Amino acid sequence: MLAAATVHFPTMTGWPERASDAHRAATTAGFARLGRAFADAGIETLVVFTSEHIVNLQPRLAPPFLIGVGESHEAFPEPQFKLAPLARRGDPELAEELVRGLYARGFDPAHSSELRLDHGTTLPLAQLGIGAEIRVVPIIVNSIFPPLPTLRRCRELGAAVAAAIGGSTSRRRVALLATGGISHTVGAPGMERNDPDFDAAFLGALAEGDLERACSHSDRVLDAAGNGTHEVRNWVAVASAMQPARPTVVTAIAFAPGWDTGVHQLLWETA
Amino acid sequence: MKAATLTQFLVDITRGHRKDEFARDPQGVLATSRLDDGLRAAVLSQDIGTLWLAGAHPMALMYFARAGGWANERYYRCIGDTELRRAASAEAAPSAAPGPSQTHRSSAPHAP
Repeated sequence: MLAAATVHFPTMTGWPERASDAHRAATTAGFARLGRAFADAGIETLVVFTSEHIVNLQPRLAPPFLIGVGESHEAFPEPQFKLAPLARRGDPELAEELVRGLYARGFDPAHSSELRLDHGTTLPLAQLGIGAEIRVVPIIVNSIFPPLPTLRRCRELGAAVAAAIGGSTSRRRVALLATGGISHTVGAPGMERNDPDFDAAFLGALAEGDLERACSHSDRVLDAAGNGTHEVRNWVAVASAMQPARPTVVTAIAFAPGWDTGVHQLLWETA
Repeated sequence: MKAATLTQFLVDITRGHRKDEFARDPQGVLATSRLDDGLRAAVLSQDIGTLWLAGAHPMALMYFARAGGWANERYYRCIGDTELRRAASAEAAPSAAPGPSQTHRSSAPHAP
């Protein structure tokens, strides 16, 4: 199986000119490399561990894990980020298999036939050049409305999803994608900076395949690194799904002035 | 007032089922809300600082400010100034109750 993880901060499409030429080029090259890997593998369905920004999840209803089982997934309009509002083709057959497979493995994810995707998903899909023919199964991990699922639970989720895909009878060529920031802040003081030390520690643990260390951060530590940092749950899930494979570091920009965040991308390739 | 109630209201009027209704008749929508009078006034006057201190979710509050025409710079300056005032106030009264900024933290969610 193939997997990748990438940041999805929307300043990269909304205001690309704010970053340096070098950082913009490195980011573009990183997406191109990940996109090529998916294309070369001939994937048919992309299972996306993703975060969202108050489109589906609300205080009224915020399950820890939510799987999109619809025939298609509409895009939440975000013209300010210069993202085309493309609906994505779903994969109800595999999605339902995942839900049932997770039930069988001790997880009870919510499911929805009418998920809407925001930039947390639409941006990386566009930047990766994922074609409209590729089916998408979003797994939204609650990273905004506490209490949030623990990092260790997300690790277990990743392993369970991998097992469910392995047991699937739909016979799709499936790849995984994690999207989300490492350290960053949204809507609160500190949005102009990230925490490169946290990023290095977290990504170092993923690179070494040390998920125990990657999952050792408390919510307090993640809060201190920025409220958006909780999106690392998606990275943990994919890293767990790909164990024991270790990722290749595709992009590592500790801080990109103008975009005011780090740019990180990983790729897991197994034989 | 639970911060979650405030956050849900902000979500409903900026990207939820009461968005259009609020645009037409904000006072009417507020009158049927579960917000107290102080928060109703804060919503109506776009008093972002008060809503911040009440524990509104940062993302929902940012969307509310944007919907009201606030530029990001103005929003971040406002909450930054509000935090500075809150910190100064806490310094002056160290025995006061824990500051509401903890309500923005995932490790202390949605405290009243």
